[in-house]
Amino acid sequence: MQSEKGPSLLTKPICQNLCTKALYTPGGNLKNLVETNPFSNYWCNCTMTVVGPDDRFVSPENCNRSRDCFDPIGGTPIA
Amino acid sequence: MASWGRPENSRLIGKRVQRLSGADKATGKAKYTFDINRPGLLYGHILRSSVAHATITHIDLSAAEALPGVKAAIPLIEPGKRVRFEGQEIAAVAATTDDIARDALRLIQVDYDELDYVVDMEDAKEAGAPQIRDDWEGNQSEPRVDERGDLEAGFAEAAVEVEATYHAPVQTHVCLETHGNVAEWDGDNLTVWASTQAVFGTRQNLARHFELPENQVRVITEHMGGGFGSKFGPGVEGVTVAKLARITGAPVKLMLTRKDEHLVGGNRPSMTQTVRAGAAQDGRFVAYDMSGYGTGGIGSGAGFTGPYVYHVPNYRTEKSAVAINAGSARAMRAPGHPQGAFAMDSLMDELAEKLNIDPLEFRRINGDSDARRDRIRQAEYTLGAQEIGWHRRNRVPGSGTGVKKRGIGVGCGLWGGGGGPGTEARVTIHASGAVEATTGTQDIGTGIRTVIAMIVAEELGLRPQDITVKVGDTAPGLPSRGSGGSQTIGSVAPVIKTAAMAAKRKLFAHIAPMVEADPGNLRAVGGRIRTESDLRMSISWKEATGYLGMETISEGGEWDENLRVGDTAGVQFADVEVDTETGLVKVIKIVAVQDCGLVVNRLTTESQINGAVIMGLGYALLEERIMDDQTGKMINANLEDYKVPGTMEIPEIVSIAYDTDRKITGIGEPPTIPTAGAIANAVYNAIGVRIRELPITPDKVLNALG
Repeated sequence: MQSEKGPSLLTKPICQNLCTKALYTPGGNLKNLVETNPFSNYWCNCTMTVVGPDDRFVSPENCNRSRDCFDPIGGTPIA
Repeated sequence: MASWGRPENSRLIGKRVQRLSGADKATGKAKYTFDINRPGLLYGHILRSSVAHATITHIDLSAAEALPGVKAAIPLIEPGKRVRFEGQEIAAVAATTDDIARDALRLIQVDYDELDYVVDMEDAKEAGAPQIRDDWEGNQSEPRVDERGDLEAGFAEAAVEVEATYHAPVQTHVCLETHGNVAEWDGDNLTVWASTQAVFGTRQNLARHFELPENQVRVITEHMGGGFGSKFGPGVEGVTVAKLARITGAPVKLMLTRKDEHLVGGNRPSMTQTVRAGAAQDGRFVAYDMSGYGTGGIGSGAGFTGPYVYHVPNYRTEKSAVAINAGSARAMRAPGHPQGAFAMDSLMDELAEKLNIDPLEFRRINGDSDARRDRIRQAEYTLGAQEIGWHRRNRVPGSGTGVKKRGIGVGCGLWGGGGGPGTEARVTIHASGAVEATTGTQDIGTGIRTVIAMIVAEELGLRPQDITVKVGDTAPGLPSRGSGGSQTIGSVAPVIKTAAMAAKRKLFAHIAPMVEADPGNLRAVGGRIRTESDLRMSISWKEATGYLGMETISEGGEWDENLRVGDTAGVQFADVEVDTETGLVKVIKIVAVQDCGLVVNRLTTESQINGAVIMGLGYALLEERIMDDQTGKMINANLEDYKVPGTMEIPEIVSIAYDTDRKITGIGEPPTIPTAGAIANAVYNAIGVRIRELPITPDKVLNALG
């Protein structure tokens, strides 16, 4: 889909493989994907465990562009 | 605008209706995932780490692969990577029988380069402890600090203070149906029978994992034997079984063993908190300073509530999580609340005693921080106190006579549970008179199937057993969200209600010319369609639907916020007997008064409350994951040494499903919150010695008594 290029509304890209309970339940707070909720556990959809394919722990803060496995929602922006 | 109507007009809503699936469950006809047997089925099992912390240096699958009957053996971790707890997945096999699969696991050779481990929370915080997480310095997450009011001023106003440390252990979910799936491929189409709380969520996870479009994955959960928050997504076992099925070209079943379930199926994190709190002479709670931590094993999510329920104007809290070499926490029935409630309600009683105020009166003075909940809670105090006989409690704790001493205590809880949008549903009326209600939610054992039938039957003037309810399958393409957060009924019921209303309107419009009546003048009552102007005039439901001819009515609904409500309050009272010679605590009676908004099915609502109380009782008196620091292993990963309540421990439970609104709310989680606090306070009232650590086992009681 072609879209007009411009600044993103997202304050922070989120990995589409980062999972937490809020994704599954009605009214789940999606901000839990932006900032760690201390009541929530997090896991990776690639490994189904609390570490990613690179064997490092996953969390909203840890899952970012610095990791090779980072796969942002909506795909990597086209340069 | 849709509404649930007045109670006196409800024929089914609020009444006691037996589960539609009850007979099937009692006779074994109901098919759980464990019961699914496909032609040519293979059996899968997972080899798990036997050590708490190590680097994997080598995995040799050759002997397992050579075993007759083994169809596939795959690694689940690459050499060079770390296992961080006993039970972590190493490899998996699929074989023609369950026994062969288990035998094959024993033939897999795994070489570990063992590392130092730590399985005790206090040890993990020590300098020099083995580092478990790369992102937490000293095995401890960044503390989260919350502050409100002026703590110093609050303590200056305090006439009494309490300083105490409270501890709650790790509790495992103990789902009677273990985690597991059956997977079958047809070309690039995957069907999974899953024990899951989220059929659509699991479909999406699997689709993404296997890089398939969602419509090529079907997830089915016909019946499910408990999840309590631990069954969102397919888990390692879910993607593993799908891989094994793809490799072998055959359907594969992989269910976790009971030991697996304890090690990797999730748990409620522990809690240790130290609190200093103050109250004014007039009974106002004025200051609360708490720091604490808990462990979710290698995972996060060890947060807990505090201050909790009661209005505290001045507080400071500092909470963090501690990593140890143990299986990761998962959401568990009211995450963070039972442990926080136990500590808070213990503290409330300790403050009340110092002020020489009745603990219930102290709670009344320090009302709920939310005005609506407080109004409900004050009424619940009155109801529950009457039912338990609050006046019978010992004025002086421990003052009873005899070897076996009785005591009474109180505890509180709160929860959200109002549901939300995201469910689609259809109500279909066939010419034969058959009615179907279809949606993508799943019945995780709580009875949503029956509730859906009741709502449709009420609207159409039929009986619940006249309605065929289709849930737990992604194939109809009617999504619903996962069953968690006590959100299911608040999400599903409004959509079902409005879909049934729409289907009825369409039926009435269709038959109105035939019966020469205005559609708005028709009513569906008692299996017949009547005119409001003359209720004696009617036609049967089947006559009415017969006029549909070749037409089928199938209408969707919309989520209507006005049909649901959140923010529930709950109060429980416990009556216990403590044997001062053996230390055994026997709960005699629990009174659970639970704000339920609008009760739909009183029978299953009370059943939910009963189950939650039983789980809370286990938390208070029995359950604890015990880790051995000599081996790094869980030493009670079974149901003999990990005790859950059985018939001997379950007391009389008076479940009061308290109707507080004509709007629906979820109550799967809230009634498990207050139980431990109520029991702990009752034990204190019985023996006059405070036990601040769960579970309250006989050894702790005897030690406390000296």
